[in-house]
Amino acid sequence: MKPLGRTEPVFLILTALIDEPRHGYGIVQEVRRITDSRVDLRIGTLYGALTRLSEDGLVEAHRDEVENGRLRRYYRLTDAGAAVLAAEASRMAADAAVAISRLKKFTMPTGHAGLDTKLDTNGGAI
Amino acid sequence: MSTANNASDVTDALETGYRKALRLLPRTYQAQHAEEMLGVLMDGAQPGQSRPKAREVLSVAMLGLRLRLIVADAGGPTGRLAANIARRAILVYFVFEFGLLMQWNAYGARIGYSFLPVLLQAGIIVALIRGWSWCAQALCLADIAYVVNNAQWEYWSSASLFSYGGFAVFTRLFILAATIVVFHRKAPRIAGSTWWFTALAAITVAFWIRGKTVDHMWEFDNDFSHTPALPALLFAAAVVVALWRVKSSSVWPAALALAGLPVFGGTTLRYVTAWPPQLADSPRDTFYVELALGCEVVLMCLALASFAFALYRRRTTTFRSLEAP
Repeated sequence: MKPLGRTEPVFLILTALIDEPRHGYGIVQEVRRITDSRVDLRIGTLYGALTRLSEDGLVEAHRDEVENGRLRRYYRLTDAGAAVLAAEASRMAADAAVAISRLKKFTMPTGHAGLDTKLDTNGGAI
Repeated sequence: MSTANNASDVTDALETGYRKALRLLPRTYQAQHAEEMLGVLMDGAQPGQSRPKAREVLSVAMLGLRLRLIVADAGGPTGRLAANIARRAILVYFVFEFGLLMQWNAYGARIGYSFLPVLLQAGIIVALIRGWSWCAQALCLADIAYVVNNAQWEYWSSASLFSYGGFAVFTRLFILAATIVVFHRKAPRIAGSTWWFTALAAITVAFWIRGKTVDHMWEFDNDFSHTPALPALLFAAAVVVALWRVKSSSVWPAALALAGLPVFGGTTLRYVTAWPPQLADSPRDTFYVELALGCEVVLMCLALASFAFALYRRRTTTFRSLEAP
């Protein structure tokens, strides 16, 4: 399977399409919601990514609807897209687990185990 | 009523603005996605917003640029044509310039001139012909670093694109940057590698011999006016190839015309600013320089003619398909 190896927006776009097909603005809103407004997709980023993902068969156009006189094209995640996203998510989770486990052993130059404390206060989550 | 009309005017103005911005996209992409993209842009607009956001317009412009240059091969026929022309033009330019570099070194080697630019150029050409895009891009970056490092500092402080030395430096940097963009990771390998390698070998040998036999070169640069007969012959050959292809495809006529454009740089500027000393006493060489310049003008005309033929063909085909039952 070809690894995703792509940027964060691409990963987030695929994530936004997991539960249901969404149109362009729906993807923008869902990515904003997933990231707690940290990532605000620009139109060029969104359609550049959708074009690439469609070419690679990871997403596909699901249906067209016209709402208030405007065309809304819905995109859905394909089986290949879900598999690639799952592999990428596993890889990222493994990388994150390594980082967390190493950070727990990290001692700051001043001798305080500050990062350990920060990780523990979050319940071990990032 | 008046408030409703104002709101409608604002929306119309915004929509018009975004429609204009979407025209920055390639035509085929517009046909497929412009309406849905307009919907996304309008949905994301703030209440009362009457003008497109600059960052959205910039984003559309960047997408248009990317679609035209980076993923042109996956786009419509226009994008593929532009990419095919650009790749051939760059490769032809590199091969021709490699000949000049070999000539320069064949002459300059007697005084121990560095061989590094030749190796870089050869590496770039081989990588491009073989389709090793990462290798070609890395070598182009190394060449850019070499040019920036070796250009005398007065180039950057006083020279412009329109000065003699500045033109050579800026043109070289532009072509190297264009190579990095056009020969991207997904670009198809250029066809006819045997033909390209044969042309490279022939040009190398011819210019090397010429460089060894030339009496004197006034400056150690790649200005072809030192030995203009051989370049003039190549320009004439390019005209023949362009004439042969002009009715069938725009790729080669346009590529050859583009590849020859730098000829108007150094040589022509020297005509304007000062008569090249190596031509002062040689009417024959002057004729060859003018022949090469004339051939480039003919190539540009042939490129335009090939586009006109292509347009005519497309219209004729469209009408015939419409007439067909």
